[in-house]
Amino acid sequence: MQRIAIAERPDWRASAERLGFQFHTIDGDPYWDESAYYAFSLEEIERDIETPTGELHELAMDLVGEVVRDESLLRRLAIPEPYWQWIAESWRDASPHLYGRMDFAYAGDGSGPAKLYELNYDTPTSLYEAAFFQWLWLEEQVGRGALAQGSDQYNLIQETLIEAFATIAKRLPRPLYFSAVRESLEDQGTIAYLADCAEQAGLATRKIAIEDIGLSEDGRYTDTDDYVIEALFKLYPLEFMFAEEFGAALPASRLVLIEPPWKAILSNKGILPLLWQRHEGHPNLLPAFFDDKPEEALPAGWVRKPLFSREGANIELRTNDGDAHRSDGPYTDAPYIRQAFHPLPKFDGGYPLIGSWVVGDRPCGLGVREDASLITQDTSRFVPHVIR
Amino acid sequence: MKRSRQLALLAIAQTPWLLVGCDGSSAPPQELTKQGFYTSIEACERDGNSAEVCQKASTAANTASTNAAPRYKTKAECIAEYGDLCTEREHESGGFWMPLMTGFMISQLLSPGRAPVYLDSNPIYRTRAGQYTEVYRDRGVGAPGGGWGTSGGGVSTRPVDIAPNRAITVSRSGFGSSAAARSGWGGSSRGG
Repeated sequence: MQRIAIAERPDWRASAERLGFQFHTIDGDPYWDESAYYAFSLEEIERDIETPTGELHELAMDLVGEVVRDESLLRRLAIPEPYWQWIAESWRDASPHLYGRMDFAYAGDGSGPAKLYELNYDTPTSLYEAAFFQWLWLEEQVGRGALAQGSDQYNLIQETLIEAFATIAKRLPRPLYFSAVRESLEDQGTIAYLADCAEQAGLATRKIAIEDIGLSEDGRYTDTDDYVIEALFKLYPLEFMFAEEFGAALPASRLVLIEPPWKAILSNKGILPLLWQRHEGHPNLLPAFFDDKPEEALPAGWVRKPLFSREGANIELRTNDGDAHRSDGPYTDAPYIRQAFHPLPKFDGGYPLIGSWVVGDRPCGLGVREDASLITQDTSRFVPHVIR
Repeated sequence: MKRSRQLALLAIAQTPWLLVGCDGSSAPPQELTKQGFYTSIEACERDGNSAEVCQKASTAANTASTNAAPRYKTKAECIAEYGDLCTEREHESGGFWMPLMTGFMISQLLSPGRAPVYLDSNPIYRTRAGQYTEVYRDRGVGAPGGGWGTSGGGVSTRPVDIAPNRAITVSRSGFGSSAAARSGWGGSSRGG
């Protein structure tokens, strides 16, 4: 794995805006960054990323089956009790799921296997840029002669998404609504892209801001024209929905939700200590434990994460030398876990984090995000990759 | 190859878009029919269709309805099927009863590199049981080129599986408050 500088395509901003990538720059800061790329060997991709992703996905799915039957584990994951039965039923009925992303620390210098930082299995983003715009970058750079003929990329994400939509279509009432926070350009861009993939799979789609969803007197969710929403893809955390005013109506609403209710288990950082307990010593897992004393000072060599943090918020980290790093954030209302400190590798541009995508149940591509700090946050930049 | 040979975007690009990759074989470009069920021209436009297309679709469905709506000899027969949504029509061979159109199903062809192309629009009726039914010309039956309602032109019905089921909304904005409360950190729900 190497980081290699390359000239930007002169017209990429115009392409981005024409092709639905309005969030290439966020609040004036660059997000899409094609001034460099990461080069992998095929062996690094297949042996070190793709295979472990498939294996960890299986372990995680097995764990869901265990957790839904165990009240003490549901409580340990701080999942509110009124939703337990609904979650368990969604697992038993094999409610369709679409996608997830695993984040790995990986140096690719023979220093060891990729280590799983966490699962983003409920509201993973950086999807469009990984699945589509990164692919376009490669094709155009090969076409322009800036990359060698025969350069490849680990990226079957979009075609796998379309296949997955076509597979679950049979179980979905129509149309399928796509919803996200109204004011987030990035989230709106991501659901527009997902809706495009669903349309390509033959599904009729609609969009609605999460704030605009209504509730009827008989406990069903409605759109702004009072039509009942029977199938909803939400790019909005399940645990937020549980805590909000309309959450209580979820179990009885008969809504087909994507991601499904059982994803509440996999989007939870508590999955990390549970995986470690059951598979201690697994080469791709880091030691992890529930942290019942978050008020105590964190010892060197450990990272403290809230069960429900996103975007790298509220992470506390002490390196093996005892240096402390901390990210602020709003996720101060849940229990915590501790995970063994394992630093991201350092390259010229910063610290890259590997996002490895699973669509349906299939590992199918990756995206790299770089941050200037050891904690990858919403300040990170997306950098494309190549297999050579 | 570890990547896709071709990718397309249909709706989010300014025009539908397809690229066959450098190493791609010459696969035929994708063509898809997009269907949309609307109960009004306004709803059609709100869904991103042009005013012109929505007007055309509504008019076409209305015309088709005049010629091809299910016909009943008596008001009672029509009401048994469609409830109150029945109307009487005068006809030279005697009057009859037929349901009122409650919406239309518009079909458009989506193909990469082109704006959506209007194909046709069919009338939709709502049965007494609340099921929406589309009346369409069965192209596999009857004389070629036979218009709506012409003798021999097969007219068939099918249930609409994207039934817009309405309910009285009593409250809104019951989702979204957590993101707003945490919006000092971007207001996004981004994973990672």
